[in-house]
Amino acid sequence: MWPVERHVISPLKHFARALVIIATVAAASCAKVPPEVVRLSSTLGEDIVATQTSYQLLITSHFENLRGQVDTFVDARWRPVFLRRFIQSGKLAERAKESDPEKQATGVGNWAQVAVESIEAKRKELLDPIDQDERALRVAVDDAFNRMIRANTAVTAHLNSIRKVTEFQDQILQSAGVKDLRDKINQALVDTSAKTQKAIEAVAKADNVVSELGEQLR
Amino acid sequence: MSNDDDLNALRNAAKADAAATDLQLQNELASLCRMTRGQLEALRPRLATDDATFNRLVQVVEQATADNVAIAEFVSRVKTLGVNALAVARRASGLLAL
Repeated sequence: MWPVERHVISPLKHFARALVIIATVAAASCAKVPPEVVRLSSTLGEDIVATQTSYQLLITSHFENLRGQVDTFVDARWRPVFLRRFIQSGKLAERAKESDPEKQATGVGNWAQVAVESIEAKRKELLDPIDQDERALRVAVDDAFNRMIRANTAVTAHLNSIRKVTEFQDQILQSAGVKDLRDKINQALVDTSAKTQKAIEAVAKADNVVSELGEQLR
Repeated sequence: MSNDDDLNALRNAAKADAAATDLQLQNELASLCRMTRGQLEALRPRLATDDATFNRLVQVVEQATADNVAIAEFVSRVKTLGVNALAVARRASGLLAL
């Protein structure tokens, strides 16, 4: 009874073992995934974040420069032209010559208040669109970087999962006593690929020779 | 004239002066606007895919990752299953003794 059972079970165990090995090697796709791939991908993620910070600083610098140009225009060009007109239309000289000191102070004060209001309104009118552009650009750049970070995170996690699968397969191969099977298959594929490349080059040379002979015979 | 009337009169005059100033400096204003606002589209990042395509790609990769993790954790899950099954069996055998 016992020897018969052993005879029946033994081939099944061999078949199951072979099936596991085949499935494991097939799932590995014979691709090498060194730990450095995961590390490189992770490093890329950190570099993306650093680049995002740098880009945001550049945006700040760029828009500060634009705001500086607006300030210069308002202070150096618009304000003098406006004040020349407003000194006349607002009768500043008359207000300053008022004999009643209280009326004089109120009159000149009102004039100065409206002058400052007008100049700052012009400055705001020119700066507001720049502020809007800056906000829109920051949102667009952040969106783009967030997409890069999300994609890289997904790729890093995927590479890491491939590493884990490979380690799991190594455990199975080791338990089956053929741990270096995948490495041997990979190496055989690398060697075969190199030989194939040489064969392609040899065929290309032969093709050239045939073409030259054909030309000579004509 | 009250103080409010004076302020209103000054604001009307200032409004007209501001418009006249804008007209006098219109070429410089236009040049300033071109300089400060013309680069926005050039600076805006042009993404390779739309959001829907991007999200679909990420979802496919994340699903594949989850599948790989499930495969990698197969042994530990089998061990956990074995430990849990053993615990249940022990409890069951304890009940039988009662």
